[in-house]
Amino acid sequence: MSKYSGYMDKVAKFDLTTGKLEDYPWSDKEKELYLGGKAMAAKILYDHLTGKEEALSEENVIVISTGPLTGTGAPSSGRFNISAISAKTGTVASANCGGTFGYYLKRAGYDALVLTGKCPEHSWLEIYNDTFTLRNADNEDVWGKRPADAEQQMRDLLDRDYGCRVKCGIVGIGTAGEELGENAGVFSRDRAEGSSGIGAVFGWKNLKAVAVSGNKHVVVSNAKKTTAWNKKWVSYLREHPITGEQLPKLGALSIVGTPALTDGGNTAPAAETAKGCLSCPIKCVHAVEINDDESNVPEKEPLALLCGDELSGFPAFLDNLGMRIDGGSPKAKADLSMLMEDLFEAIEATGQCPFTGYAIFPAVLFTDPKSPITVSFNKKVAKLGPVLSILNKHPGLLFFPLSVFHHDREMKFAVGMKMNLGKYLRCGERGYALERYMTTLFAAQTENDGETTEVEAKDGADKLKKAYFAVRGWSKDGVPSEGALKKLGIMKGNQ
Amino acid sequence: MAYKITDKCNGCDDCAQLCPVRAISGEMKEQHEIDPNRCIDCGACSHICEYESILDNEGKACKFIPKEQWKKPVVDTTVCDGCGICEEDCPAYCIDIIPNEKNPIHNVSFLARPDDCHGCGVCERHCPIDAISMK
Repeated sequence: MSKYSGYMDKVAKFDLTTGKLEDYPWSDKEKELYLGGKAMAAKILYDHLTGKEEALSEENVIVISTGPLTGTGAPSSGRFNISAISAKTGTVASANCGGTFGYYLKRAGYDALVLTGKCPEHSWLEIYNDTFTLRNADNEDVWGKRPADAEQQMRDLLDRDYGCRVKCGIVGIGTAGEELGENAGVFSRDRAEGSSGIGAVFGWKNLKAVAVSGNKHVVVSNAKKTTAWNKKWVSYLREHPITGEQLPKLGALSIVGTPALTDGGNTAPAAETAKGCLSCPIKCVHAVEINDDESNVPEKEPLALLCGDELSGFPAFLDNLGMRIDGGSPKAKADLSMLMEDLFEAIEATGQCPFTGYAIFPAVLFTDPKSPITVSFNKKVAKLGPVLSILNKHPGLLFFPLSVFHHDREMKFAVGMKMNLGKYLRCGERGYALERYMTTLFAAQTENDGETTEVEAKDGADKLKKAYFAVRGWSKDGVPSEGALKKLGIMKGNQ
Repeated sequence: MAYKITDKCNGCDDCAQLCPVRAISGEMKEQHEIDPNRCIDCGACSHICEYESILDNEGKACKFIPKEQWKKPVVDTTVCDGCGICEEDCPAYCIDIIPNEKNPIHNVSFLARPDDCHGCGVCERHCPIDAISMK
C-alpha cells in the first residue's frame, strides 16, 4: 500500500488484442521521481519500447495518465495526459488536456491506463471500476461518427444499459483518427489531446473511444489543511492579473501575447462565453457561435505552430507584459526557458494546469509598469542569467517555501509528499530529459537522424538552440546521454 | 464503503426509485439491498426511508426526514470559484455553473433545479473550498 494519498495506487495494463487485464507496478519511488501525467507516461514508454517500434503497429503502447492532484479538488487539477509513438513523427508524443476524463479514471480506481495490442474489430472500451469491456463500435453505431456525436451515442448506450443517467469521462477519436490521419487528435467533450497524431494510433488499434466511470473516491492526506490551502490559493489565483483577469477575459490565446488577436476578445461579452475545465477557477475557454454551432476560439497551440520556435515563446510572453529581457544572452534565455519548462513539466505531471505557474510572478509586475519593483525587475532581469544558471544546476537551493508558489504545500497537504520549488524543478527536468531521450531514440531510426522534432532554425534561433542544448547538458544534437539519465535517477524497469 | 440496508426494510421500494445510480434492488415487500459496486455514497437514500433501515458508509443508522424538510445547498458566492465539481458530482443534475453577477468574468455554482435536489449533500462534501453549505 502506498504511503501517499491522492494516488489511487493502481495502474491498469490492458491488452486490446486478448482482453487481458493486469495490474502494472508503480512504486512509491516512481511516484516521487515522476509524480504522474506526462513524466509517468514517459517512464512507462521507456520501460516498454526500444526505439524500433512503429507508430501504427501492435507494439505501440498508449499510456493515459493522471497526476496525484487530479480529483483532489486542487485548483486546475483536472488534466490528464496521453502518450504514445506519434503517427506524425514516428517518435514519442505526449498530449494533455483538462476536462473530466482524468477525474473519472480516478473514480474507477486508476492512476493510469496502459493499452497494448490491437482490437480485433472496431471497438470502444467501457471501464467501470475493475470491469473492462470491449464493445463493438460498428454494431453500436459509434464508429464513423465525429467525436461529439460518438460521445453522445456512447452516453445514450450507457444510460440505457444502467437504467439511469451515467456520469462518466470519455476520450475518443473522430473520422480523422479512424482514417489514420497523421494530425488526428483525441477528444474529450470540448477538450482535445491535439498533438502529434495520437488519434491515428487509436484508429489503427481499432479503438474508437474509452468511456470510464466508477464509484471510488480520491482520499487526501490532510482534508482540513487541503481545504484551507485550496481556499487561499483559489483566492490568490482570482486576484492575480494573469489567472484572475487576463485568462478569463481574453482566453488561453492571450498567454502568448498577441494583442491583434486577443483584442477581439474585448469585443465579445466574456461573461457569456467563459468556460473552463473541471476544478479550475481560471476559465480560459471562450466559446463563440459560428452558424448556430458553438465552437471554442483557438487556443495557444495553433498560434505557437504559426509562430514556430517555441523556445522564444516564454520570453515573448514576458516582453508583451512589459518585462524586457531582450538584453539577455542566448544562454540566459536558454536558462530561463529551462527553468520555466521544468516548472511547467512538473506542474502538469501533478495533474495541474501550467497556467497556475504563471501566477508565481508577483502581480505588480503586470499591473504597474512604473512601480519601483517593476522598474528594478526590468533593469535587472537581463543580468539574472548567472543566477538562473546556478538554480538550474542546483535546484536544491530552492528548498524553502515561497509565498507566490502554492504548489508544494498542496502536494504536502493533499498527497503527503514533501515538496519544494527545487524538487519540482528536478522532477520537471527528469520528465523532460526522459521524453527527449525517447524522442531521439526513435528519431535516430529515421532518415532525419535526430532532427525530426526540431523546428527549422531561423533568425538567431540556431544560437539559442545550441545554448539551450548546452544548458540542458545534452549533446550538440540535443541528445541526453544515458549517463545524464542515470544522474537524474532514471533507470529501466520498476524502481 | 457503501451504504447498507438492514432487515428493518419492508420493501416499499422508495429508496430504489430515488437512487440516482440504480444501486438498490429488491422485490416489493421484501428486504432490498445495495450493490456496493454501484453505490456512490451520495446518501440520497438515507433520509427517505420511513423505517430507518439504511446504514450510512460508517455504519450509522440514517434518520427519516420528510421531503419538505430536506436541506438545499446554499452557495457562498464570495468564496465559490465555479470550479464545477459540485455540478459534475451532483447525482440529481440540479446544479449549474453560471457567471457571477458581481464579476461576470468569474463563475459560480447555482442550484438551478431545486425541485430535483435530493438534499444528499454531495455538493457540500465535495466542494474543495467549503463554499457550499446545506441549509
